Amino acid sequence: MNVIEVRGLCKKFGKVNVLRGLDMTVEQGQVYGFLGRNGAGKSTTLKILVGILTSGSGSVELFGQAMSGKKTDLRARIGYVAQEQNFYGWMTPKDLGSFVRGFYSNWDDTLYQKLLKSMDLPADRKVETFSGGMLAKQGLAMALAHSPPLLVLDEPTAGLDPVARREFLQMVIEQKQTQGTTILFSSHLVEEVERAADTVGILEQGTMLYEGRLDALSRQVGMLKLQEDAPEPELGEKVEILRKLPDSWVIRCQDAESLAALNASPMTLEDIFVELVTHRRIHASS
Amino acid sequence: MRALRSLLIKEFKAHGGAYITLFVIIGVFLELSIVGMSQNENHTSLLSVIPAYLLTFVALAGAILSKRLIVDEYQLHTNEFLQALPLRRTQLVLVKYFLGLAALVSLAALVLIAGILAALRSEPVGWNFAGLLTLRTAGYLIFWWGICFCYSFTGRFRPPLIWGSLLTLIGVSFTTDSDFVDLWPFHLVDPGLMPYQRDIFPHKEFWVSTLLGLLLAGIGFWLGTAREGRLVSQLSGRLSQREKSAIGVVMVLFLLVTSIVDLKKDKEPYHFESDAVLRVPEASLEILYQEPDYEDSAQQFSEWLAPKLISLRKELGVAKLPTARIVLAQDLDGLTRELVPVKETDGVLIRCNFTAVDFDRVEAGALTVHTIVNRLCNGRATYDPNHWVLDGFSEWWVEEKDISERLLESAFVVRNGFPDADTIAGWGAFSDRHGERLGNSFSLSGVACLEEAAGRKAVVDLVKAHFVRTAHSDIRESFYQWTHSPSRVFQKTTQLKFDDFLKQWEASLTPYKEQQEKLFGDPQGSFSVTADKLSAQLSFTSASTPIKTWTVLHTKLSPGQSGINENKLKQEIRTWTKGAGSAEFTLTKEYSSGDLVWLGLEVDYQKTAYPLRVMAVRREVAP
Repeated sequence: MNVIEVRGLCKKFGKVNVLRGLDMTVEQGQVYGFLGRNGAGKSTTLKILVGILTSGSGSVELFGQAMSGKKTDLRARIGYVAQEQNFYGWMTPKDLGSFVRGFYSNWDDTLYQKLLKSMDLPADRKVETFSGGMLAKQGLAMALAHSPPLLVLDEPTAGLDPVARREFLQMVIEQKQTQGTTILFSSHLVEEVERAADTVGILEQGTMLYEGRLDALSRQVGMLKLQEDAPEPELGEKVEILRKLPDSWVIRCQDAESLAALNASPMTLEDIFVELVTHRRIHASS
Repeated sequence: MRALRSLLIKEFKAHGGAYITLFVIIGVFLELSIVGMSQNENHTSLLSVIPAYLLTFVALAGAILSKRLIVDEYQLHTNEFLQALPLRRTQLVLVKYFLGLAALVSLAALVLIAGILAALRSEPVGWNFAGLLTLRTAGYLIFWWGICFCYSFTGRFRPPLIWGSLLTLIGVSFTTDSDFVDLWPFHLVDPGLMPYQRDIFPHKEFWVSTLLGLLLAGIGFWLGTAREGRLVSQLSGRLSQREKSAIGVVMVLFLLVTSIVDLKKDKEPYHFESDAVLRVPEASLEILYQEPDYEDSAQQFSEWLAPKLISLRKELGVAKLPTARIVLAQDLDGLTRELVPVKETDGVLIRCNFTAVDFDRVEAGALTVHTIVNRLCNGRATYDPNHWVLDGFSEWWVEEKDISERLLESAFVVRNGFPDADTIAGWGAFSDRHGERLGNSFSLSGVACLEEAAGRKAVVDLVKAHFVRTAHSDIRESFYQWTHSPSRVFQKTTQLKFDDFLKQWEASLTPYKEQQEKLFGDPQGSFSVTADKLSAQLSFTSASTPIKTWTVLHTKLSPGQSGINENKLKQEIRTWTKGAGSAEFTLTKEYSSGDLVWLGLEVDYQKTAYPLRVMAVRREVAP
């Protein structure tokens, strides 16, 4: 079952087209890494999915139901951690729990206390004294305390130090492993997506460049070394040249077998991401 | 409902302390104001605290509440946290609107209830009137909260908008005839109308205020929800240099325009509309005699007064005197005259009954001259230490040739000792102590003495030096007063030292001393005032001329009150038993312990036109 299904989603802010016909599918139980450069449209997509923004055109379905008209009901089934945690500074985690509880019918206070404890968050300290990492954890604890079937995280580790980032991702992975929660998180850090996600969506200029499993992507894109003084190789229809370098080509094949047959070298996900995005940019500008 | 409850609890936790503080501050100040007003007998209605507090404290509370409830939410970006919750943006904005309105209504209710309960002790406030006050308050609150709510969503433009609005109101007040309370919404809580319009409900103002308030709230609602809340978030940023410059330019232009533009209509000068008016243009005198039957009396009065005014204009060297308008008031007796307050530019308006048999044209004429000269110096004479000169001059200018009765009265004033220079400089207190009639008589005796000692010209020069001079309206006037002490001006214009003159003045009354003792006896009065009773005794140690009545005058003074209003004194008139040597009067439970009261005692002799004030004292009421 698809937890999220987006088709042809468009969104404009004034004259700026932020999303241009975005298609996206997140299946139940997946940890979906939403990868894209800054300004690619990740946050806008996530805000539309959690109902903070409305979609321009296209369709958005959550849990098999169309978003339009049911935003508040559907939002109550989503755990959302925003990019920046703008909590009331005067509140303690305890106060925040008491406040947010009223908005979720299946809020579990015991679970919330447990989450605070497991995340080492002092329940009676004002959040204005919290570090960035603590605030992110606080956001996660609140997002999880109503046991949502879908967790949406909008660059939750932005601004965190490497230790805090790893710690946070570990908690997300544990949530998936223990509860089977579907997780959609955005990031511009490839390493982060590689570590936590099993499915990736690469977004550039409001359209999806790639959506699928991570390992499949790394088997489709590779670097083909060229022989000196040899003629350019014939690659066939199933292969697309992403970039031509003096002594090698970055190629993308439709299947893993084609890449293997060409004997192309594997690339890191970060290199693949950079090549895909650069290719798209050059292609769009031409 | 759970979500709404959570939101309300959150708001109360965040702003409850501030709200309770506001409530307590308003409550305490309100109580102090009510107590203060209750002790001031010059107050008109205790209900006037209601508009005063609605226009100040409650208005300020509205601005504070909107800042805390809405502005801070966007400035601290906590709105983004709220938006991530399963809550509609419209719900959020509506909760803010109604919560702020409810808080403001509760503060206004405190003011309304306290004001009405306090007023009930001294005036009737029926359900209908209370309802009218409530509706007026409701209309004003909807308007005011509408403004506060709307402005709250304008982010960084809020402070310039607030200042701009205030400047506009002030600008409108200065450049047009409209005072800001005359603008419809404020008109509802006009301090000059709200406590007194018991049967009138300003429908137009109420509906305009309410609709305007709702319109502003609607604009605020739109700003808060437009572009999915992004508009208000964008507006919440800091002002850019370009925006700051633009606002500065607009402000400067506004100030320039308001300093140049004057849309005030020139007010039509006051004039009598009736045809029954006798006009003497050379004397700037108009007498309204109401009906043709009284034209002769008006003519007689005019023929007597007009030459005096013409010569006043000539001798003071004034091109034109302020127009003196005398209105025939047949509801008054011949000895009473009333000065009607009009704008300074409208001259002098006096009511008196010049058709009465006992009409005292001298006193009516003296009041006319006095007010004309006071107008010439823009009212400065009222507070001038040389006020005795003006009082005496006014009487002297119109007095008939024989002033022996006035000199007898003056001798009565100084029967217990002649006042020193300081006492005369504090003329207001001296006059209160002896009453208007005796005060005027005594000042007249002084001016008459001066004429005899230094000549008529010296008297006129003294008045010109003090009162027919264009005073500076800045620091130069203080310097002038410092360098022109009364005694110096006196010596310069009369060639007499003031102390020497005082001796001559005292000597001029000596011949009348014995005669006044014979005529008026030696009345001795005393007062005793406690919380239980007020008692007054009057006795004579020597035989006196027949007495008609004796009167106890009394009034409560507010803290710091200096002068008294002669027309508002309570009078207890008692007939004097023929041949009696003394009399006593008692009034029970009139004042409370600790009250400050003014007490006066007057005797009305059969041979004098006016009662003579025997004594006047200020006392604190003993327990």
